[in-house]
Amino acid sequence: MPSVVQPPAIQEPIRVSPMAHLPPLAKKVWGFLKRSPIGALLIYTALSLILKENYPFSNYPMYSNPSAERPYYTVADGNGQPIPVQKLTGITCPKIGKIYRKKAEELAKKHDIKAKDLPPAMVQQVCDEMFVQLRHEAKGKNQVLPEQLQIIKSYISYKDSKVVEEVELIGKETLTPQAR
Amino acid sequence: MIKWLFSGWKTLPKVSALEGFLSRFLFSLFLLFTLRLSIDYTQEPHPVGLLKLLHGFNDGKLWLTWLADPSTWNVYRAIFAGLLVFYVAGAALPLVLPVLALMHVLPFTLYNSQGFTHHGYQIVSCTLIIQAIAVLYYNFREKFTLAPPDEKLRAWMFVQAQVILTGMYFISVFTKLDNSGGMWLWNSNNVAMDMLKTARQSYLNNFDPSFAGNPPEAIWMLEHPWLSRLFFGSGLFLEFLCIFAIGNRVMGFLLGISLLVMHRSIDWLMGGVAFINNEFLAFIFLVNLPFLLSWPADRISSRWIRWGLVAGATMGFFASFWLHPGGSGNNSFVDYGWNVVKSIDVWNSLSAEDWRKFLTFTTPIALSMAGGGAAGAAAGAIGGMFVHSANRGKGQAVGSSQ
Repeated sequence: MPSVVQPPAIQEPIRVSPMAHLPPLAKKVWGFLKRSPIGALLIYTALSLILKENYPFSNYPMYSNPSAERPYYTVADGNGQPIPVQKLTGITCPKIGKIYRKKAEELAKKHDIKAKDLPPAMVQQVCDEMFVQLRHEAKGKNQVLPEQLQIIKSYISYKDSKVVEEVELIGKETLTPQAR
Repeated sequence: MIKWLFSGWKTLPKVSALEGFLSRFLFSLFLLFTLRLSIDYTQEPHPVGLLKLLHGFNDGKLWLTWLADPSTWNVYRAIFAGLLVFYVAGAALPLVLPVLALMHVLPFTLYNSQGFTHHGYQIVSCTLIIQAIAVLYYNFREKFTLAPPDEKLRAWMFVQAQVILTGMYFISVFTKLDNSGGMWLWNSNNVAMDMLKTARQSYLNNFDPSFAGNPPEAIWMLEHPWLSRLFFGSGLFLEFLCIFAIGNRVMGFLLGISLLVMHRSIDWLMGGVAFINNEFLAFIFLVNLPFLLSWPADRISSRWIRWGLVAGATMGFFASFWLHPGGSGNNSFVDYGWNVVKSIDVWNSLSAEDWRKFLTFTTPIALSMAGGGAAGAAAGAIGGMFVHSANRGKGQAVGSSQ
């Protein structure tokens, strides 16, 4: 009888997981992270800390640096009297500070300097942009803003059992109503 | 004890079909609540997230300001609400959830692209995103299905929602330590300065006299720095420890209640700094209202009665439009629906009058749901008996013919 020649067996390529080379403890941790929701938690945490304020991610910096002196920003009329900014523009006081800081940081980054080192002309440029934004929002709400606006930074602190506030003018609107 | 503390990280909790349904239903109500206001910004001065990418392609174009148009916004919300019906039913989740997630991200990306950041909506959008990822991953790995989620997928969706909510607090701990150079606990007594600052800002927003002056609680804390450190420091530990709520119902309940107390305290101390979205999500996914509501119904052994109860209560909810004094007589169905959604805003109010109005409005809804549920359960019991006896008759007929 002719002998039956068996075709050579097709050998499956041996697939080796890249994790196979890990030490046993690392393998155990990897296996746990793959199965457990903690893996997702770590990815979410890492992404949020890297991407920071990029919706829908955030690193949630609220109250993250408590200090004895706290600054806040307000909008005032030409005489320095505060205006009810949310009522007139829809933008709240905390948002005024956030907008100022954001614009200042972006401008400073463009010029490769720190936001706190911005020269007065650039600070005025930031404020001018904000005045335009505030007037735009007020117009959308059919509200009338004072003829001239100012952005004021106040520092609040607690010294000798008293609340102390110091005020600093950041920028004054320079464009006349006609020029707007 | 230690093993139990970590148990939720290893074993998925059992999520019944009813709990899954109630979870999706309550989350949907809340999702609509987050879209109750219009976004009326017509500029994109400081694009973030998706808008940053889009402005990378064309910086001169306004990509999302079409959402500020009131009529477009209404259509947008109607589409969102329509998709939520599928979501609540658990139908076509691999198709519906990614769209819902994207639709929730867009308006708040526009909102946060004005140069300031609001921190109330990230966790809501991220919950939708992670549920969408869970559903897509499940459909890729296990089986593609448009049918309502099975027990495993329900548990995934629940646990991943917990990951986002507790993750937010977990992330904030790292940010606090990073931004304060590791000195947050030591400096935490100065959070009282934030209370003073917030009171000033709240006053200057609208000249609201209720925020005028210095909050006495803040002054007391500034006079007692060690007690303040203890108070605020306990909040930091709570934020860190809340990851133990993941997958653990008891810890979820305890930590959920603790987070609610923390947020209520912050709201009271800071004078109106509410974290209402965090609180609603804590109610749904940590305190686990859906589980507490479904648990008694899940004890009913008859499937017929159980599903009759759920179907009847759901019909009772819709029927309340015609039965409610403030329903069909005064409103369109859409307006009535919005009134139901907006009514949960009462959680943010300390006014007895607001709560009286809320109870007056919701009592007829609760009654019609209870009535519908009872009628549904009775119908289910009768239907079950009928089917059972029919099956028994068939069985006897087959037995006698053999």
